[in-house]
Amino acid sequence: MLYDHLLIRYGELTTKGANRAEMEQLLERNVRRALSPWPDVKVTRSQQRIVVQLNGAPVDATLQKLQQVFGISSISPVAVAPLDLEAIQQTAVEVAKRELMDKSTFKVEARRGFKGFPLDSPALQKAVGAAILRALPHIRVDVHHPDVVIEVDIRKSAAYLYPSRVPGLGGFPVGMSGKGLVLLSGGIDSPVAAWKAMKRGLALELVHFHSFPFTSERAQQKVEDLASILTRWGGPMKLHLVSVTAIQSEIQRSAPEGLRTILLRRMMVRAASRIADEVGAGALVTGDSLGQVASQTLSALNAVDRATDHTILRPLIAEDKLEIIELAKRMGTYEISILPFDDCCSLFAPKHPKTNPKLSDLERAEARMDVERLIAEAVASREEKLVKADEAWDAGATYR
Amino acid sequence: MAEELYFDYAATAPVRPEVRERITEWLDIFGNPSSLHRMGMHAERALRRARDQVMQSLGARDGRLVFTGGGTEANNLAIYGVARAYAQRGRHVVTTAIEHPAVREAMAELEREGFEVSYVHPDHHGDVSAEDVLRHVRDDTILVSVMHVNNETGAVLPVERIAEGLNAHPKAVFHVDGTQALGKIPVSLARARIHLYAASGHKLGALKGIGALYVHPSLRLKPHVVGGGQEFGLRSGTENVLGALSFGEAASHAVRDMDNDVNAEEKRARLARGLEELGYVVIQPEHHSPYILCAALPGARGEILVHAFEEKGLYISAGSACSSGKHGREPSRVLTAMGIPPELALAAIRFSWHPGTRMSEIEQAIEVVRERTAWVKQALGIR
Repeated sequence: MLYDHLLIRYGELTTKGANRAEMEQLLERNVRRALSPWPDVKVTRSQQRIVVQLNGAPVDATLQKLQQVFGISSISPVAVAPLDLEAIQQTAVEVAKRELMDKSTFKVEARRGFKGFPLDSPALQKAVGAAILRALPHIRVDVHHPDVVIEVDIRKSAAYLYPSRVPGLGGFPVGMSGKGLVLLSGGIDSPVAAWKAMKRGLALELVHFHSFPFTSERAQQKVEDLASILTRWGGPMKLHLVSVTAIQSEIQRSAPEGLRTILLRRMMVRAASRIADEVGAGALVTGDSLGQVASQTLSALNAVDRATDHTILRPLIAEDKLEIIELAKRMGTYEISILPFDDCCSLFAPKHPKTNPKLSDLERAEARMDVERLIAEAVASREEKLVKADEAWDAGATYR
Repeated sequence: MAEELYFDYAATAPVRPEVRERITEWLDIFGNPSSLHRMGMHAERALRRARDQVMQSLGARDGRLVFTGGGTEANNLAIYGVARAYAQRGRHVVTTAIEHPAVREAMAELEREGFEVSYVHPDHHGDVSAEDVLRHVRDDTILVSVMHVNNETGAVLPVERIAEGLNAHPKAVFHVDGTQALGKIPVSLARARIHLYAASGHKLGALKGIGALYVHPSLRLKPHVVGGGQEFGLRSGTENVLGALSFGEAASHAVRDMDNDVNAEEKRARLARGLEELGYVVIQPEHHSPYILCAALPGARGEILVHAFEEKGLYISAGSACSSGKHGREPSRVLTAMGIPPELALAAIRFSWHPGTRMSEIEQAIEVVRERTAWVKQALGIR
């Protein structure tokens, strides 16, 4: 196999100072986890690169997996040659033959990380270029707009040759920024919010509020399927399934109709805060987008914020619905999100929700309910599931 | 969770024990019935026996029984088969407004192709009168298609009387969708002038993926699955021998059980009374299957009750299994055709059971409904 290694670069991470080593370790671990389906793969780290020795694992499939790892800026499939000019030239010709099949111009870029190599970079460029021109008489050198750039990287142990850089996802390694608890609804928005949170380095746990039997068990299955897709980027994660049936029915009984939605949101956030404390999550993450629905006005968002001490992160707050949908489609969650099963719960939804709820009105309504008991019971009776990647779906993942 | 109370037989039935017992034995009948050698002949013989069993359970004396991929396919074959074969005689069809989508959608397709379709409406109990059906029949009517038992309300349609009336219209082919009837009410094709009768295996305890269409000897149909000419050329494709054997066996036993179920009406009446006492509106067609009952709880929604009951092991449907779940909010067309307001139609649930269901199970079901209904009423604030 010509390309028997992958070279992984990590962009923004390299700008970090003091705890960079720790971050690199985290990324290396995430890379290992992503490549765990191929036990023979060897992952090492040196000189601000992660090197993957494929040992027979397929290039395309491993590349695809790595394109789901946050914190990577680019990846190159690499051919390795011993530190010997003739061997380097020979390998370069192989690479050129493969990459220039339907293209006509190239250039060579050499870099000498190991200064002990006898030729300097310009001389090496010339020598390798000449060898390629000899072997492939129909192609030309074009230093300004080449179809293919063949990079030669001289290291202490070997020469690395690579023809292309495949873009990575960017962002930070999942886990770098601590842990967040996502309120995952089954709709379009919250999985996208979760993805964005992971991109900035949050490890995730998920909480879903249901009101079985007023919501369908299929709605729950849908949430598990969404969670399973999120594991492509975040690895296995815990999903907390919390019933708010009793809470909803209490709200139904004792609160004015227009306030029901916000009251339920406040109760959910309270319950999520409890769970966040238990699992060590530093923030809640929601899919709120300003102005999208009645519960996403400034005063409604504020009323929800006041129900918790936790920071609520809202990665989608300024996104348009169409942008969110676009991202959901690329992630592969959209088709699942639009399945027509109610979440909590259209049956209880007021016909005219208040868009500017007064905090005092909300608090007065809550004073009539045993909030503490309701929350404690809901949290205590939750069901926990460890969600893992679904291999069948995994194979089809495309988002970069 | 309590014992499981399965009251969704109209959606599908568990595989009958008599079928289950013999499946592994039948797996050895693997030859292709079309093969010339002994293995093929063995399979062909088994298939013929299954065909006879289904014919007998339908009370048919002559004619052909075509095995299909299920009840829907059997109904499609009947409707398209007649329309394609007899279009030059006329382009008018009579059916009812309460048909299953397997028929309704095929009718809509005929309309797109330029046929005129008359829809007969039920009364507010769900009953369809033979006179109403016959009144729509004209000289250019080539097909009359009605169901035998309605899958949502359990209403039994007067197919014998319609058949009798159709004697005056020799050009009109009479098709009956018997999917919910076989094994639930007596069927006798020898007695009535019914040209086509569709049945489904899994509704009476056979495997899924097998159905049958009875075809009167006088009829020529145009097939829509063509190829090797199996099933009298009406449904090509290598026969589903295992499915057919399960159908034959299940049909025989189902009809026998039905004949032995002497207090069927009593059980249904008990369930109806129990539901009414809990505030349900019960749909009571005058002529009804003893194994289907439709009811609605004003203010609730059918799917909520489905989930509320399932928590206690009672399985029912919201409306019909075919129309619930997928698109959610639309009220049943059958119930709205009866003049039931959409709000109440959305609250409808369906109990369906079989001749083997015991009175004690009916009582247990009522008990679950009692407890869960109280809970749902309280949660939703229904008085």
